[in-house]
Amino acid sequence: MNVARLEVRELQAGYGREVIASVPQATLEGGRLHVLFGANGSGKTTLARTFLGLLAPIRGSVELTPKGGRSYVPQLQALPIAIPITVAEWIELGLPDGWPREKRGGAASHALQQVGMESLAHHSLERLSGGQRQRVTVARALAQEARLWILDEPTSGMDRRSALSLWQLLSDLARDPARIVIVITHDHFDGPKHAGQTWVLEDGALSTRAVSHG
Amino acid sequence: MVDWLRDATEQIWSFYREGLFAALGLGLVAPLLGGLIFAQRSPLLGLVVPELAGMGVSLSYLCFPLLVTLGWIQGSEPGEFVQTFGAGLGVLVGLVAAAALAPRSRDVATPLALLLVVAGALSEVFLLESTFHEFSEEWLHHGRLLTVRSGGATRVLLASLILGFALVWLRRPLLRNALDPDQARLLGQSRRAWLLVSYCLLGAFVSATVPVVGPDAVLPLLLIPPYLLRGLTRTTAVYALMNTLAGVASAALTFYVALARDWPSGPALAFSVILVCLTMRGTAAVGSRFRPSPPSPKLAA
Repeated sequence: MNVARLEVRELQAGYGREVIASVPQATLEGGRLHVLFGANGSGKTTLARTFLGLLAPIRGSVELTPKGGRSYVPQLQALPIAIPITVAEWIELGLPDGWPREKRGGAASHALQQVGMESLAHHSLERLSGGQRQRVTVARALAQEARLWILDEPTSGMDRRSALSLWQLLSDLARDPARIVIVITHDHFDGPKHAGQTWVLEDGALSTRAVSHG
Repeated sequence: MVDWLRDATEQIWSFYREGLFAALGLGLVAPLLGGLIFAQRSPLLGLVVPELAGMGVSLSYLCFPLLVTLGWIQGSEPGEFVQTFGAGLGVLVGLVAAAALAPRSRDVATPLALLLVVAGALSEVFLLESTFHEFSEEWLHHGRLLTVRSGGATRVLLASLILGFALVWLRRPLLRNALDPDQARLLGQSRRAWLLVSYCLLGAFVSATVPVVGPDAVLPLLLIPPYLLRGLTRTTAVYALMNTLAGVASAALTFYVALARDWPSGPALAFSVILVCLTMRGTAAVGSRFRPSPPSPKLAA
């Protein structure tokens, strides 16, 4: 199986002409969990959105090989609850329109099974706890067969048990070399334990340091 | 009682047939459109757009004598085309103004609220300054659902059918863009393009229906069912169905309330929509007491 690779070259990320984060050169490979730390306002989310292609780089390039889907798990409060929607409906809504209905249903069901949430398929998304919602968003990324996943502070607001369970799940899923999983977090306690590679965004520059598996 | 009911039914059928069809058409799809507006978290838009259309229609009445003098149009009062053009122009100018007042800002609530006040005031002023004063009370403040003119029902039904078809056909991209714009972009959807599509659907539907029935006959159906029926179901499909059911039932009830109590159609419609939605909520609450409750998500997990 091809190893997924995210090549970042001479990247300047930001809004308009204002550079918020720079990455001279970095390569993120699949098969391990990438954890990105940084202080509030350091530009983590801006960098993540640039990696995903949601924000055009001011300069430089971001290339994902082999080409594939990208999935973004936003911070918890960004999840939709404006109208009633079930877990299964929400996962299926995130899948390409070109997929037949049976394929969408099957993918959603299989993904929920993988994260241990199959019993919640027909529950309201609004009524789930924070931890359950994050697992559902992970299930959606699985159903999408995304090559690049970025999760923005997925454990924020969770109790320790739920957070540990989510870290374990992400760590397991990140072992697949065909996908790159990047977690943006403030969790300095559990984050490094589960990280395969730790990245730090400091003073607008991204650097890496190796840490041992937790 | 039976005779009275039969007489009332015959009276409704002969005098109010056009209005009833128009109301049923509105009731069928306006709450669905309202659901989309709620999904986009912009209910203020649903409030402003009919007011803008109303302002445009008022402007068409104000400008009508001038247009006749210039020889551009003929007749004794503005026809359907002129009113619809005015409504569309009002919506377009209003939305462009809202976009201009809130550049690069996600929060457009303040400019929309400002527009609501301005549109309401201008509607009054345009009508008062026009030669069609008598039009203002019935159409602008009370809605004209009961006395839809000949051809009005066809027009509302056609607009409702087109909108209904578009909403069903485009439901996935529209919902995805409303609920999860980042995911929509990652799947290759342009956020701006789909927002534009949803605004065009809203603007075209409102521009076609407001000249016929008045803004107050569109607003309650657009805003009340999607809000009051939110907690009744878990699935989006059933939510859409409930909205449509509430809209159609409210439209029919409006005629009974308006005729029995001699109320204007706009307030009668608002009353009927609230009554129907609260009845649906009450029925669901009573039903849930007698049904075994599903396990809570926490236990199910």
